[in-house]
Amino acid sequence: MPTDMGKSLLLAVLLLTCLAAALVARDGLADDAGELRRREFQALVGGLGFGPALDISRCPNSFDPRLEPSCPQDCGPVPCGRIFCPFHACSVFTYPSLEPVEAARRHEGPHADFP
Amino acid sequence: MQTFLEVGRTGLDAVLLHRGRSAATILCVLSLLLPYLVGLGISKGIQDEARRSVDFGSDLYVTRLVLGAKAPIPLNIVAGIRLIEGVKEVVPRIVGEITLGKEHDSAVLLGVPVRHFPAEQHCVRGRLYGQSGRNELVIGTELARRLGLDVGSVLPPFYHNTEGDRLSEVVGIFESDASQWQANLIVTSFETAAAIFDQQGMATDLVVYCQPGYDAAVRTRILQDASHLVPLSTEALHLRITTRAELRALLDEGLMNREGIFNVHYVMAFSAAILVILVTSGFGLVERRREIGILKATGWQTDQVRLRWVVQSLLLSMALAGLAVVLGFAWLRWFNGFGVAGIFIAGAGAIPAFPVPFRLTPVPVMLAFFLSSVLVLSGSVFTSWRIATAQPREALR
Repeated sequence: MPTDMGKSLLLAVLLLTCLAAALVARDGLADDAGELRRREFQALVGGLGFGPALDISRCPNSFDPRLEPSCPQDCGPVPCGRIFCPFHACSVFTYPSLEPVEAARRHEGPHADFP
Repeated sequence: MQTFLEVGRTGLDAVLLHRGRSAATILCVLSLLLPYLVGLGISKGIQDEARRSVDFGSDLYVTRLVLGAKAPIPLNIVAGIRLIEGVKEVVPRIVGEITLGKEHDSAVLLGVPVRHFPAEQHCVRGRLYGQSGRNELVIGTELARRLGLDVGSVLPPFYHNTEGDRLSEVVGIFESDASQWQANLIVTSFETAAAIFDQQGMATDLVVYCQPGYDAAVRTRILQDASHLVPLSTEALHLRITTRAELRALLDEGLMNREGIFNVHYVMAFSAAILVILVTSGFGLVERRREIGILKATGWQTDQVRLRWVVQSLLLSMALAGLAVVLGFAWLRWFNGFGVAGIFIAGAGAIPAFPVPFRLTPVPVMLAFFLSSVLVLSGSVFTSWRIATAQPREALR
């Protein structure tokens, strides 16, 4: 049989696990007031902001690809050329350039968009 | 079954028997799991914000290309686009960078008309711009903090206009939880932004709202008739149109494309894993050999010894994963990502002036438990198994 300390430890670990599960579940619940403010903000600005950058001084693409479809510091052909940009080197949230989409569209032919 | 449970329960005591080793294991693996969970939580938070930006933004974003580079789009194209079937509204926007203050702080200036906005708004403390003839600005929280501005502050002319420079008044400050991108943002009327940049008749992009189901047709018509949409124009107009669907596709691809964060955390994972394996199998080897030797000498079978170690390791893993989630949540929610937000969101600073966006989802939490189990088990079970298969006399020697 486990000692009293062992039982206490098991209880503590179970409580910790339940607390962690409760926090994850609570985080999934919507914050209505905050949600309203966020929607209002996006409605006011017409959709602005997308990536991890907070301004457009270094990499407008990391702020919003609608402003700049690709990273201006992207040296693609150079090995690791994409990570010259600090936002793309160790970014918590990265996304591909919008340009391949456009290049593919151009590749389809000049009238690909026009039926 | 009873014996099985009893042996498993002795694993609980084993955690307490070697408190130093258990604490060292928890600290080492926690140093890996905590930033991992925090990073994934912030990543998910930014992704949610980005999704809102796409969902509550417009259907099409029209920009102009000159010699392959982005260029301002003439405003006289707006009337032509409005006539296209399926177009609900066309809103010109100016988005550009300006610097403010003695430290030349970078800010994003957005000029956009207030469009169908309710009189009672919630995202701005103060009021919206455009209710007087002056330059009225609504600014972000980070900018307000850095420049020491509040509602009612008056800024001396920070730009040069050929028709004369004017004072600007801060009429509102965004609520900090409106969005992370409001931090360094200045929003004003389209006319004020045009005056600040001293460029009339131009916009950075056109925001086009379409009737449901018409966005593809409108996009095609704009591209097809681009040159005819500008009255009396003889030059070819090259436009680029970004659709909502393309932006959504970027978001989905972003999920698969987190090379940066994963590379960094894998390096950390391996570094910490080496430490853990050293601590749990190297430094504690003599102690463990003696313990297993005594257990076997008192009649324990090899399987029972292994079960005891597995229970001990799983208990440690559960404690680790739970602790990492609780600490990660506390760090992000109550300490607002103090110290770590600036690493994951460049420009946020050590103490962000806005709530750091984050969301803890079950998948990273399960991954944390899996990762901690693998690390702790790999550090102890193999060596324990090897000792346990030896004769008690050998194990005790």
